[in-house]
Amino acid sequence: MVVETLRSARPVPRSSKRLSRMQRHIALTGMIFVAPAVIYVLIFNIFPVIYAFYLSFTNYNPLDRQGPQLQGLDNYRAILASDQFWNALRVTTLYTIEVLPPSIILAIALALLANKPLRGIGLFRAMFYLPRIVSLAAVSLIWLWLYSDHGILSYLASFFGGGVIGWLTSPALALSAVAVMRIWKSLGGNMVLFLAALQGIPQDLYEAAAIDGAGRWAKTLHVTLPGLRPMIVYVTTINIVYLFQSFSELYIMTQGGPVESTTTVNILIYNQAFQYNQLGQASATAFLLFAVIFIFAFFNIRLISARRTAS
Amino acid sequence: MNVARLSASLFASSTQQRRRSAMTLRTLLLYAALILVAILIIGPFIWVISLSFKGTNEAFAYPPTLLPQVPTLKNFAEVLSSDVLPGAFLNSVVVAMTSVITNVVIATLAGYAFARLRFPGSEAVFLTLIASTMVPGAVTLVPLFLMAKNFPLMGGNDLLGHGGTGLLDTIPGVLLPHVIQALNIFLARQFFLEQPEELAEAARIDGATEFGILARVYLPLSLPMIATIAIFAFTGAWEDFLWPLVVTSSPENYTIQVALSAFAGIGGGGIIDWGPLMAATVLATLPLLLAFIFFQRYFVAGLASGSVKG
Amino acid sequence: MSRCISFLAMLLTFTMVLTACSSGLSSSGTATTHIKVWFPGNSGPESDLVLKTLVPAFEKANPDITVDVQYVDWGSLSPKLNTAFAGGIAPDVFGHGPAAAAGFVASDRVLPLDSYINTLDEATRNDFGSMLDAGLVNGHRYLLPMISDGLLFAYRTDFFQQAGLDPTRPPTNWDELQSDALKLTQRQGGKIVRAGLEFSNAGIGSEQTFSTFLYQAGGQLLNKEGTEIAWNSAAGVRALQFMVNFYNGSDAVASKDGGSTGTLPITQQPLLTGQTAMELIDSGTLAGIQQAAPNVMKNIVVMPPLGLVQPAAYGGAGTGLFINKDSKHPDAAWRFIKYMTSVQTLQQYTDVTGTVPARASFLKSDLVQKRPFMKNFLEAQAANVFKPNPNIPAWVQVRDVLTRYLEKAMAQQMTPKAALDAAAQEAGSLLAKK
Repeated sequence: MVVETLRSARPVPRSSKRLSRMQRHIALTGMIFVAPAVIYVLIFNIFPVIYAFYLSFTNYNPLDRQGPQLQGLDNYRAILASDQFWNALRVTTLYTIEVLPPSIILAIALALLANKPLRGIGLFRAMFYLPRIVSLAAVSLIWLWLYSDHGILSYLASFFGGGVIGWLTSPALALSAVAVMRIWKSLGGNMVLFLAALQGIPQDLYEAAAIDGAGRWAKTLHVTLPGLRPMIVYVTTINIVYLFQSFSELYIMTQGGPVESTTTVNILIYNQAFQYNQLGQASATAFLLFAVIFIFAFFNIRLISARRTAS
Repeated sequence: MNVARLSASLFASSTQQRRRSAMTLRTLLLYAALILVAILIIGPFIWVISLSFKGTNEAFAYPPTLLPQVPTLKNFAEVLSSDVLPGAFLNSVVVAMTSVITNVVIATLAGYAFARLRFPGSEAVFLTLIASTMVPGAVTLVPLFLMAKNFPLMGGNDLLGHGGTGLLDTIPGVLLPHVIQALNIFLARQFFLEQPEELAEAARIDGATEFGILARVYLPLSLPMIATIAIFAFTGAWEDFLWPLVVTSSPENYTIQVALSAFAGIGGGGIIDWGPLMAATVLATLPLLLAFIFFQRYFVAGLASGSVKG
Repeated sequence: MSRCISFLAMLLTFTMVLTACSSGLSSSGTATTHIKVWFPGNSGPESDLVLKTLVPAFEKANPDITVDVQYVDWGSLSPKLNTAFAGGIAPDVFGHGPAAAAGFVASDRVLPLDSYINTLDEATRNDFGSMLDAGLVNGHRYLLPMISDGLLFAYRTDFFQQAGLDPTRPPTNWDELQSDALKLTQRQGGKIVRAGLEFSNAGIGSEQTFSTFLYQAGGQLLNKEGTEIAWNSAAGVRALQFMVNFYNGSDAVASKDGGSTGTLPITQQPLLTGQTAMELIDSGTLAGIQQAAPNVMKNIVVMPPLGLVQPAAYGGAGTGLFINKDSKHPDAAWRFIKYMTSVQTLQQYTDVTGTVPARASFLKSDLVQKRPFMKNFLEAQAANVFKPNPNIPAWVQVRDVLTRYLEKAMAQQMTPKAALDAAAQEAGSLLAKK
């Protein structure tokens, strides 16, 4: 998506004589316009990241008076050799796999539903969007109650036999239970994006397909889904970036337990940084996570973009 | 991706998309599906409201009842009577609103430039901005903290940033990471990419400045995008917990999330009493809801001429 | 462009005005000494007492000092304190558990209190007794404890009677504990509806429980010098197996589905609600139960400390007060600490919190009249039954390693011996580092 949209940003070249003056003026204005954003992000986002990268090669403990001491690759070696890290990576990947596909598919279905020209559809759309604007922390507390033994989910489950189910206290169920909550929260936000994409698909494509004798399912398969592809790429990429950094909901609902079945890499980083004061190690773990995210995001874009047929 | 339609789809009122909807069986089934989904999605919030009016024993009662048998306002009273919360609420509002303004201004300018004002290296710069969102915030916290402390000419610091406490324990300090989010620049860029270039061409021929083109030609069309950025910026600043926690130390500078955590002790082995906790959640979420409703109403009008294809 | 500039100027001015306002708010009077204090926790009644009663009283008695007290909940304490130290804005006085002492000493962040402690009269020092050693690191004392912590077994006399046991003769050793627990367990269709015995089996609580049984079995967590792990001894394995047996297998007396009891409000505590007949419990919770349900409290009695090899339990000094090494007003800080640990203050403080004060003289006070169960805790404290966590810099990390493996053993993912050995190996490298 990034690649495609980058291409579309290139203006069509005109006659080369008129290019230089006009283009230079535009380029200068462009640089001035992005200056505030770039300067700010450079100073307050990028620079801390670079500093954190430097810290990942040190044994920095914020409490120590002497400041960071370089230690070479020791942190990286120690982390890559620790079972805890690999378990956390496994948990994080599992969590992403459990959340991402259902939330995309359900969001598309919801968008198709919410695209119908019915009276009051705007109200329904706003309702679906509600979980998006409530904070993740608040939502985690709500679901903490839902999953507790005196919560409504336990009550509903009791109708299907069995006693108290430890949704959040059983190592086999905890991660999936939180994943359900995350899917629920993401539906509205993703839905709105897909809705916009749906409304951008030209009507004539549908009409052409109808003329070719396509029924409803065929239309969906050959017009709707391909038309949604750019948005699917965008949504999956953004979601991958965020899901791999999951922290709040798991910290609040299970504190990484039971028996580390919900300890994501970001929880590990948090503990290393703020419970053990090992900021050097935490930074190293963070950059290992960054590498993983980058690879997944990159492959995600390539994978879905590459299968693009002429349309 | 069409950001105009994204915002339009969210903010459009039903009148713009209403057709003759005869009460066919299909329509009935669609409504049924919509209502079912709505219940599943809104359901948890109904329980939050229900719990916020229950006393402790009833909140833990099993099986749980939707309507409180003994409704009580005690939980809300407990939350509202705290000395810290009202001030914290105000702080959060100030930070969030300022974040909205700065994000809208900076993201619009930058997004437009990345989309339409080609300059050497803009691709690389843009990619770097996006990549910066992939690093977990926990490790940039301390570097950012130290930068806030050594901010020149603030809080008793000299030109080199030494001597005082800089932006620590100040509201601008809380605002620091929220002045601009990279995601909003991405969004603005996508939006402007879909606007027709011919408008700019025409305006240039008429002798308009680049800024004039942005301000007079594209900005009026951008209200849905601005509303979307506003919501993202507001919620981003409102929800932040860890940064305000470490950067503030006086209770008068707390934001709502920090004040609530002191009240509810989340994740650190604090006591979880559902009544007050849910009441606090309701109160902390209400402004977001109101902001959402507010922004939606304001920008619906701008969509009448929008690019919504049916 | 001009619109842009004027807007940015407005924003800058707005920012500076805000800065001016906030810094104006936080500046204090110039003639007095101003100290900042951070207390851990988020208990409403406790912070009300401190902020509205104790601090004003201190300021009245010491007109040259003003105190700014803040409560920081335990979960937020570490991030906040550590970044504050890194940024040089840490408070003059802060409260923390004694286990944190070694870490702060290793980073040279806390002031040795020996010279100040020596200014206390002998009676006071004896009153603190061994509690004064709680913050002993490298031969120096770094904290003054306010309260003492400890876990003891409490039981419901009414359930004892129902099960045909004599409520005046609680278990005195492990065998009796186990057999009584079995008799007290009530099942319904294969599920346990009343546990015979419950204790913390996850998180930090599990380490405290294990510590209790470990010391009872004659083992210890680390060797005396704090340089080697000692919990994977035969005693350790025995203790952990004992713990595991309560929650697993056909003779289980408790089920883990309920989750942690630490986050439950008082009225939902299992000993109160009858969810369990016996529990390893702290005095604060018992005080809460007494206040919330005095009728139920009449049926709750604390057992004398149990033991296999020796009577022991997890405990020792609880939260204590440290002085920041960089504090500009250490004398004022010390005066505040002295005040907070004085008998009158502790009387009010422990009245509200239900915790046990760190001073032996309370054994004869009316505290024991009001809360009979305090007697057990105070006596155990005086008899050195309570075994505190080791005082080493890497303790938090070591403890978390142990906790992880304890959880695995309790979930029967590893045998007790394998779990303790694995924990010892992983934690051992942490000890070697520092």
